[in-house]
Amino acid sequence: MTPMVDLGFLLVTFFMMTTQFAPSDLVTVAVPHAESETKLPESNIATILISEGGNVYFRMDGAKNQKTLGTNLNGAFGLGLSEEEIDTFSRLTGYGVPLSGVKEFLQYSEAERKEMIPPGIPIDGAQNELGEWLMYARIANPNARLVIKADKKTPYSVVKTVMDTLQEHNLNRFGLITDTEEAAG
Amino acid sequence: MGEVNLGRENGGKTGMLSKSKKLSTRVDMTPVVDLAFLLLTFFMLATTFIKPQVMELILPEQIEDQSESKLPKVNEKNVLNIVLDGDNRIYWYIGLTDVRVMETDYSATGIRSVLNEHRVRLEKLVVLVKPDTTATYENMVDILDELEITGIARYALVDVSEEDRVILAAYLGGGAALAAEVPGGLAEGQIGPLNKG
Repeated sequence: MTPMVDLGFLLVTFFMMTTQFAPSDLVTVAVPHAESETKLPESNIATILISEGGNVYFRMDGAKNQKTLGTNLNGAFGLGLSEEEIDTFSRLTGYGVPLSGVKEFLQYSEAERKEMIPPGIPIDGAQNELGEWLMYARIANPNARLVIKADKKTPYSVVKTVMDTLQEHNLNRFGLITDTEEAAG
Repeated sequence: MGEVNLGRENGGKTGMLSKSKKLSTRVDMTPVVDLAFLLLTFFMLATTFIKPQVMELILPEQIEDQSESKLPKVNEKNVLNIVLDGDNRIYWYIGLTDVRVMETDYSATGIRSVLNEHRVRLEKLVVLVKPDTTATYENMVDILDELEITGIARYALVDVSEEDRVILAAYLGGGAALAAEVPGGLAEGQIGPLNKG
C-alpha cells in the first residue's frame, strides 16, 4: 500500500503545482455557444472582456508583464503612479478604468476594489483608450495571444467598435472565446 | 475504514496472546490513499476543464485607399447577403438588384440549410454577414459558427449598407424598424420615395 500512497501524493503534488486556477473576471460573462474546439493556451493571453452592458475591460496575465505595462503607461501618459502603486497595478486581475482614473483606482483598498464595478475602458470616438492599452500590452508581452471574451447579449455595435480598434492597430488576428456547451439561460 | 490494524490476522486466542508480545505498528493506509486519489481527481478535473475554447478570427488588413477601384469586386449573383437583425431575426437575399428577401432563424433547419443549399448551387459563393446595430454578439458568433460548420471559407463581416436598408425597408413595408438606425442620418422621409422607385 505504501508505494501506492507515494505515487498518489506524487501525482497530487504534480497537479497542484501545474494547476492554474482561472483568475476571477471583473464581471461575469456568459460566452456564446459554438462548435469550435480550439483550446486556448494557458499563459500569454491578453483578454478584452466585454460585459453585457457593453463595458470593456482588459486583462493580461503574468505579474512581470503587468508591471511593464504599468510602468510604460505611467511614463507615457504621466499617470503619476508611485513604485508601490505600480506594484499594486501588476497584481490586479483586470483593468477597467479610464487612464485618468487609474491612480485613483489604485488608491482604494483591495476590499474596496472588489466591491466596486469599474466603469470600463472608454472606447468611444476620440476618447478611445483601448488602442493604447493594447499597444502597451503588446510592448510588455509581444507573444501574447489576443482574445475577446464577450457576453452573448452584448450589442454587436460594441463588439464592432472593439474590432475596428483592433484593426486600426493592425491587430488582425485574434480569438473569440466560446463554449461548446450551451450555457443555461 | 479508519480502524487501526492491530495485528489480529492470526485470529482466535493465539492472536490475543501474541498481541501483547509484539504490537504491530502498521497503520491501515486505505483512507490515506482514498484522500490522495480524491485530491488527485479534483486537481485533474480542475486543470483540464477550465481551458476555454476559442474561435479564431482573422480580419483583413485595413485598406488605406478606400476608393472603389482598389476594393475587391464580386459578381452580385454570387453574393449571399445575410442581415442579422434584432430579436434573433435573419434576412437573407442574393445580390443587390431585384432581390427576394427571405427570413429565417438560427436553428439547424434555418440558416444552416440556406447556407448549404447555396454552397452547392453557387460555386463562387461569397457570403456577406451584415449584423445590424440591434443584433447581439451571440448572433454574430452563431453565424460565424454556421459558416464554419457548412465549410464556407469565403465570407466577410461588413456593415449594413444603405442599399441593404432600402431593400429591407421595402421588404418590411415602410421599414420603420430599420430606418431609425441609418448611419449618416438618412431619415425616414428619405426612405419613403426610394421605396417606390
